[in-house]
Amino acid sequence: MYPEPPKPARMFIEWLCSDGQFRDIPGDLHEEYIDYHQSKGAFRARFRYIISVFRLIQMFILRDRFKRTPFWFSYKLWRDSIKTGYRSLIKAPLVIGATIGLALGFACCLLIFSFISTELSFDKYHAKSDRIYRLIAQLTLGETPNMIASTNTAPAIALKEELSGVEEGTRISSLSRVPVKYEEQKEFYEDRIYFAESSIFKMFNFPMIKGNPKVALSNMSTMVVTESTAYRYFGNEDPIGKLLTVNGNMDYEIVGVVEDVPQNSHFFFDMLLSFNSLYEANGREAIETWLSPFSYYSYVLLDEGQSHDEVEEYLPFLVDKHLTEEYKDAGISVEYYLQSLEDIHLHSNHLRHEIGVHGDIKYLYIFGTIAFFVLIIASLNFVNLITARFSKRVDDIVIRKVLGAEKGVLITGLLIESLVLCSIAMVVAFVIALLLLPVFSEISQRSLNLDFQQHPLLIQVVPGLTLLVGILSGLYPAFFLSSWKASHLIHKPSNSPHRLNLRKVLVILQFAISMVLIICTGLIFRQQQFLMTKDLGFQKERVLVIPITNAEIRNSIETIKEEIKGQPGIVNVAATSHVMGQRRSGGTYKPEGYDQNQTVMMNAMSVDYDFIETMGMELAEGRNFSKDYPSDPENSILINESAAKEIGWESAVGKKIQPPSREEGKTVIGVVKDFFFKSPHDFVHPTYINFSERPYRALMVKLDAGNLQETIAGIASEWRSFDPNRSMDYYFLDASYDEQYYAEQRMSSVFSYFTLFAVFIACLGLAGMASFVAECRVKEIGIRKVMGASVIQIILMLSKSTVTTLLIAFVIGSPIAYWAIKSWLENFEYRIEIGLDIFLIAAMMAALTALATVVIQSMGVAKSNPVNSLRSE
Amino acid sequence: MKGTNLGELEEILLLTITAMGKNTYGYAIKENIEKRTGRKNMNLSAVHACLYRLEKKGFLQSEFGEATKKRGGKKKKLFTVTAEGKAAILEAKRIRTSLWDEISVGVAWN
Repeated sequence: MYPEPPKPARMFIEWLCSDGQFRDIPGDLHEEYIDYHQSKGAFRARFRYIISVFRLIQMFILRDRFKRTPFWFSYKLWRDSIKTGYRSLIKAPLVIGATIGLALGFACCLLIFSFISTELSFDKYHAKSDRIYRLIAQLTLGETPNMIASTNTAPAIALKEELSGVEEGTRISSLSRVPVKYEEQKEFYEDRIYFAESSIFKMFNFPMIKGNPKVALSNMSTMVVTESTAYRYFGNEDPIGKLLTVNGNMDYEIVGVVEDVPQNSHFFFDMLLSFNSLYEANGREAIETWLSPFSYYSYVLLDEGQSHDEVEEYLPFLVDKHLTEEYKDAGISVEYYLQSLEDIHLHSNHLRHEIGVHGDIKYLYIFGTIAFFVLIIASLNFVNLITARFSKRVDDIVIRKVLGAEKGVLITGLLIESLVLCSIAMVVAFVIALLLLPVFSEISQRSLNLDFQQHPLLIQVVPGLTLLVGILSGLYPAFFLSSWKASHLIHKPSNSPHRLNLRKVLVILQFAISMVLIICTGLIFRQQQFLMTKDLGFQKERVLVIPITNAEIRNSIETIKEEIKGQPGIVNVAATSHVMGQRRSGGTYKPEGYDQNQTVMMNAMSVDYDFIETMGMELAEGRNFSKDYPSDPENSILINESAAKEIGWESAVGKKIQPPSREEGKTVIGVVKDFFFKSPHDFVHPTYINFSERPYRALMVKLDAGNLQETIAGIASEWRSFDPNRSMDYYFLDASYDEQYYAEQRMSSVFSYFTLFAVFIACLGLAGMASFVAECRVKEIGIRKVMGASVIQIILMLSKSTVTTLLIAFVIGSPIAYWAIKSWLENFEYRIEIGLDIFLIAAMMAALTALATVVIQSMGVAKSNPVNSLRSE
Repeated sequence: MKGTNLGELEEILLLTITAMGKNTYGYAIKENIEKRTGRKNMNLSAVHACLYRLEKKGFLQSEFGEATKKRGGKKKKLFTVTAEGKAAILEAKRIRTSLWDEISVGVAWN
């Protein structure tokens, strides 16, 4: 096997020589490369190859077209311009400032690029990811359609059997948090545990380290664990053949170990239990039926070249064929759709019952916009400062012109200088970005990197961005300066700050964008604060939630409650079917006075006597469940205010509502004040509160302010006596409830970081401009001082134009900010008013920072001795 | 078309191709010249430019030959000297010889 020349160069030269007569050249170069590779080593061979490619362009292709080497390909021009670019950088603080600003802008783009690229990479590591689809279902109960991410068990298998274009189908079913025990040695609560079929290994890339992926999970009571889970239970022992006890009653044999699931997956597992173990409880028929609950995640693998439209067209037939009678009777209509595996992570916002936490395409757009804005600010800044700096080189440029430099040569030279600076900025940006990556990974909750191998697009983005910004921002100064005439050497063009020139417009634009960012950050924070402190309608502080996972505990719930209540440090204990902030369920209810077919969708939960009191909820009307009324458990319910409003009742107490499972209605005995069951982002759903019709899923224990550790230990030991096989699982309600805000909180902190970046860059630009203007007016200032102007007057004079700049920026920026934040706030059911104050605060902040910068910069000139500035010339 | 005058590299190229006889493609010609003249690191692109120039002048003609693995599967282009090419090198030689003759006749060669 021969070594290969560098691919981009090779491809380029092959493209260049693709027309007839030059076709032999790439071959000759290839041959030369190989001989060099053997005699002089890889590096020299590559070097020579690339040089040859350049020589070819210059000597031969270009000369052919231009008759002589074009000036912009001249070695000397490049050499000189790179030199002057470098020199101007080390000599002028203005240029250093511009370059640092640009570097910050680039760094910001690199960080956001890394984030976006990681988000887009989700699930693409599966070799067949483009052919894998998830079946999702739209269930319509009554009027409202609900899209859910899961289906019943049957369709995936039916599709595989009935359609020739479907190669494979597999199903996954999630187990809620359960304890898993290894003999008497180790016990952990497992969250990421699923039932799965053997075909999962055929469809997805979960490489198996030990065990046979062809047969793994095909037998009952077998399981596959990930590498790190195996280590957790068994250390370095071989896990194959070991038995783990799941939920205290089922033993599973480990038949395989797979690599840990990569970070960029839409779902993660630690353990997979064989799917057919589900048959054990009620038999195969109870599971493998079209009437199974919609709680299974179904994936299908299409044949290569099979279009997904054809499969999707078949889905309605599937429904007609199998799902007719029973579902129609229940008034439910079902439609299936396919969702591409690659879309799951970013496009699942409309789906309920999602398998894991997913991302949101919205954040990609938001972050992309921020990156774009910061880059714009940094580039405007760069253009501005570079132009300012170049105008100081009027002598240099005019003399070049006098000596016969063509305009094209001058422009190219200046462009090259700007490119040099951009390249330096890019290198600095890489260092900054690498330093900030850990911080940004933390707040974005992704493990980000700037690895060229993982983000191949970087190879194009980095040089592309450098070139683009370099050329675009070099264009204005290059054309502006090269248009100077020789007479300008004697009569220098005025740099009067009173003229509204392009540079000023650039500063205004920068500040307008900064203003938008500051206002948005402020309002995002305020909205967050508003939601965090909003009255939820219940007290989530110091509430311990103990999930109930097995029947024995459930049956003896009353005794356990009494025992726990007897412990010190406990205020109250209540049992509930649903925990605030967690999953909801609901159904269709028929209130009194409604027609036969009219129903209302309501969330449902079952609680006991103590729930309302324990959670600190209040009644707007009526009374709570009470032991004084023996009929309460059977016939009484509570509803919330939203339910009463939805139904249209002025006073709900005494009215009846008929739940779907019963023939007759239950009487409303009280109305609780609205509470945010899920989160204050959402509106309050009408809620139907029952007394213990469903099994309880959790105990809510309200603790007093005493020693938490001691109290929890007390409860746990009490728990042991009721359930010796499992240790008690628990969490705090406020922590789990607040977890829902994390995404928004993270976004706002990212937003504020980049706003800081942007404002800093803008100030850098302003500082540069201020010192530049002061320097240009140094003689004027000297004369003014001689005539008796004070330092303060000089500073006032110099900063006057800044105030106008800021004012204009504010006028441009505020409506944009208003519009942007208004559309963001529309995501929230409960939102703040956009007050005038935040605009004023933002303006004040920007003004203070900007004025401080200008004052500090002009201070030096204002204070200097006029003799120094006036005596020369 | 330019005149029939030959540059130094052009002359060497035409002579080398004639001398080599077979397998006369760009890279081999370059190698051959390096070997014969003792020049080092000739630029392949310079050879190419010259070859195509000679072809344009009508002193060389070319046809595509076989492709090898070493060439990355690309065809060779084999150059042969045309009748005009032969005439041109002979003319070049005649001019040189006559110049040399004049030198040896007219000047004392210390």
